Amino acid sequence: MIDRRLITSFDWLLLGLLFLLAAAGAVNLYSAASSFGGEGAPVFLKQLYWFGIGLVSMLAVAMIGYQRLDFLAYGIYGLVVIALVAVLLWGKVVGGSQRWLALGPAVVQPSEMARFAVILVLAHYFHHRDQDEPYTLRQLIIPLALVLIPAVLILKQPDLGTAMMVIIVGASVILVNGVRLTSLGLAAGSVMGVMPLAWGFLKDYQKRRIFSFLDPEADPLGAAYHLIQSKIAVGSGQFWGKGFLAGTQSQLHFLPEQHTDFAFSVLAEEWGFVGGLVVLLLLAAVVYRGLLHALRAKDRLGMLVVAGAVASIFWPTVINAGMVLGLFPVVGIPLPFISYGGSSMLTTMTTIGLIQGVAMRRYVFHRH
Amino acid sequence: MFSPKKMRRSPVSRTRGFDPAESPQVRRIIFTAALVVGLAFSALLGRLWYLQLLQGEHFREQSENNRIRLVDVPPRRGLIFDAKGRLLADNRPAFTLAAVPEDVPDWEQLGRRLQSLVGITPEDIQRARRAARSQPPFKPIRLRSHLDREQLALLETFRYELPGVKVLVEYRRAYLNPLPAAHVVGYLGEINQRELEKVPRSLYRMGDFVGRYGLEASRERVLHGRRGAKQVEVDALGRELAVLQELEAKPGHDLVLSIDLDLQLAAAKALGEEAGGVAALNPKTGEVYCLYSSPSFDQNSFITGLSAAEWETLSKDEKHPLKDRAISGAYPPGSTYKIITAAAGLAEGVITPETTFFCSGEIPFGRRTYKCWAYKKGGHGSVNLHKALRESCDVYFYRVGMRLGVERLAKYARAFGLGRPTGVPLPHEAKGTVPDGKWKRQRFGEPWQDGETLSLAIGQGFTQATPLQLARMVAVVANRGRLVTPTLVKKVIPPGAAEPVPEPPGLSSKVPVDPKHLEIIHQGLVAVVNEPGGTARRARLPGIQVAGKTGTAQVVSLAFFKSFGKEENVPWRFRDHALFVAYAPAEDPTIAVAVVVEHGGHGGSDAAPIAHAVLEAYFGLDKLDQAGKEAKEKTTAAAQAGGAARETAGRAPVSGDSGAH
Repeated sequence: MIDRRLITSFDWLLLGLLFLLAAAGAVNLYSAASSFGGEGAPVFLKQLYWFGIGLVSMLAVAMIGYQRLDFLAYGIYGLVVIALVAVLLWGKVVGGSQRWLALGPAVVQPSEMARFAVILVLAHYFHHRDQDEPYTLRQLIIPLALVLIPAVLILKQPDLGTAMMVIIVGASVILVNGVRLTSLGLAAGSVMGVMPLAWGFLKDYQKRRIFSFLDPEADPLGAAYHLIQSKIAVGSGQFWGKGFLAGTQSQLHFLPEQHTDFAFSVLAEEWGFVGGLVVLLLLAAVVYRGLLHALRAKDRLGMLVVAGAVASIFWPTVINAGMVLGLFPVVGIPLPFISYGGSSMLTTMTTIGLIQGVAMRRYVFHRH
Repeated sequence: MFSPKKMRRSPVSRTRGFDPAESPQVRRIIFTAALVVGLAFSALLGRLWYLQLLQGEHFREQSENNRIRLVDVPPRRGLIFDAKGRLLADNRPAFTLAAVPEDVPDWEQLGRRLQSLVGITPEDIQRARRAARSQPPFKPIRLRSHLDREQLALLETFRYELPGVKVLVEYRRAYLNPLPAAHVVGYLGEINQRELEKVPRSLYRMGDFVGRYGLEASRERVLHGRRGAKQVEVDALGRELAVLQELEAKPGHDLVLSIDLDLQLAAAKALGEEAGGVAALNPKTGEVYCLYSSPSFDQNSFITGLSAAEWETLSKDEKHPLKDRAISGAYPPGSTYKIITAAAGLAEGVITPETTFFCSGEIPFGRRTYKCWAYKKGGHGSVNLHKALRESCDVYFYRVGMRLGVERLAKYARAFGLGRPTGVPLPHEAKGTVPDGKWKRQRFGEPWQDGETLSLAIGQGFTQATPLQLARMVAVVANRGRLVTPTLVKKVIPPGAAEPVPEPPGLSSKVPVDPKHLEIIHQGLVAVVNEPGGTARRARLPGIQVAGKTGTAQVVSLAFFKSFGKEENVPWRFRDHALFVAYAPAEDPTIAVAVVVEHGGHGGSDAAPIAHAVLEAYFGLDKLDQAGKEAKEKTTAAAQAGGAARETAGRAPVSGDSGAH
């Protein structure tokens, strides 16, 4: 028998928010991909299908519960690292980078799972050290290594966006757990020092994107063209938008990658400030529900797992929307629920499963 | 249930008492996080506000006048030259009529105008409109490619009545000497979706051409170049008004081949309608001078687009013109293999140059009788190695094969480069077959029969080799013991570079046969062409000594062959393959050549003349021939000039004038 409190404590409001976001995303994708006469199922249907799979995955993770996943933390982490190495050795090359691994008929992208594994393994590590005082840099060597191993493997594929997300989410968990202020300063300094080194890792096209962000006039033909066209699309939406299926920037294909990375500019163009505001507020609401559960969690493990899950929704949102609005350089990070992408949808929903799992158990004591 | 010790290790008991909501530190961190989230979302909303409400009017106007387009500038593909600097693959402008869908106000009207001007049919228009649906509306749709001058003039005159119509100037590959060098140079084809997914998007786009065959395919990387882009402003009719910015395309590298067009032409002419392959290379460096496969095909038809009917004839042709016989046609080497049998026999010490066998025209072995080709004449009598090579005595080599056994024969066949790709930089190279006991068991599940060793020793049976492998094999004798790697590209010329970059020479490996033994075989090969009784007297050149070996490879069993009665009655596909391998000048060879004529008859009578033609072209003697014919009384002078050519150490071509002295 399932404890009744597990069900009453489930965050139904959060679930409602997810449905609203998925609906907004699908409607927008219907428009963003309508002018392409592609083959197969329409993109918006595929997105809904992935949302369905994501729901199942979310419920599964929520039911399993974070304590049981805690026992598996190193196992899951190990599997992901092995899969990432396998991708580098035997992965499928698509569009010049090696991200997919064929397992029989299924093709998986282990880099998407990396975020999930890093959250679990960090929460596990900090939970079991159970240290109240903020961590010093020296004490953080192992957690940092746990973050950097998968991140470097992903960067090798090369997949800058996903590698960056792993690092940012990992760093968020470490920060939420507590880092001594002086150590933080030192870390910031050393990151600055490592920057030139990391620069060497970047591919030419990635460097060009960063340059073109810093100086759009220098490269109006490449990434800056995308930025300019995206800003025109968003800005021309004005208050009410141009109307569904009526965005000229998107329907006439001035926008690049309009159903993936730049899906939000299609939305802002057709639904205007009103549409953009609603979607951003919905995403903010998801993040705040998450933070609430982090605070309510009844142990450090739950708090950290939720913090990680919140970070892995918050950061892509800020980075993608920032990019579309011309605040950040062009990096291939999808906007949760709005950008098309099966594996991104699945990861997002699975991490929300972690939040639900913690929320459900906030009044339940373990019976281990 | 649990021991107290275990209880203490469980996570629950360890963290008992820690409640995040109660911990002031955790509260502080979560509230900080909430603050960060709030600020970030406020920034995004603020930016949204700024772009859409404060700047909205400005951007709305920009979007309405968004006439700035990004246009691809495709790179110029690298050119391909032959060894003497003659252009084999060029890029020529081709004019294509296209329409930009979003700039066409009325398709029906446009269709009618274009029909009267250049004969575009309503079906063409229908097709274009269908195609337009699956791509951005500002992308031109091709209506007709390869417009001629007259059509261009008409379109230019009525330009203002044709809104949305564009004439695209596209550089298309043009093969200037298509047939003789088709297989080596290869051809291009449009890139497909699957390939597109495998390459970086910056390099290839839909509609790009990529190498599909020959050097075009194997050297795609250097030939392709890098695309550029330009930002153009267009007017309401879609015409380009101004180029705002341009990122220049980087052309591909040019290639200078070691292939000599003269030799290709000579091989093509000599083979005529026959199916076969010719390979010629420098026996010291491995540079390939000639690599020809007959019948050939016109590569240009792949660029302008093959019609279904054309494709049908090309692919269904009994003689398979698309197959490169010089590198992927594998044939039994016939008696040319006796070079390997002889080398193996000498190197393994089972024979000496003085060893003699008696040839009565046949030898019994097991339950069969193995015949010599000369059995009708009553055999060759007493035969030593020199005579055996010269007259291609089968019985002699049966004996050597019996003494060697299959494994040792296979070892030397591999040392001479058979049974594996030569490494020539072309796709689709066949590796041929070197049979041995292990191979037979794997292939047929049966042990090796001793009788098969006899067939093997004279190059019949399971052994298969390509013309290029055979050229390389005979080059081992020519250079006295080195197996060269064939190369095709002499130099690569990077765009804008003053100096071409020479390609590294091919590697070579040592063949485990004493040069003294190869010298003896060499003498035998000289005799084949030059001594009375030799099987390839037709390969002689005026003034230049040629060494060679003939071969005739059975395609069907002798009994089946005989069942047709006279030789002329045997159907083409059952006739023997004719082979000839040679090198010249014999004393210091600069060229080795191998010829296979499929179902061509006999090596001496059918393959040797083709090698002769290629060698003639190489030494520039074909031009002398012409001069000689024009001045009939001076034929002897031509031969003398040929001798002079030899003294100038081979390669220098001798002009027709010198023959007229």
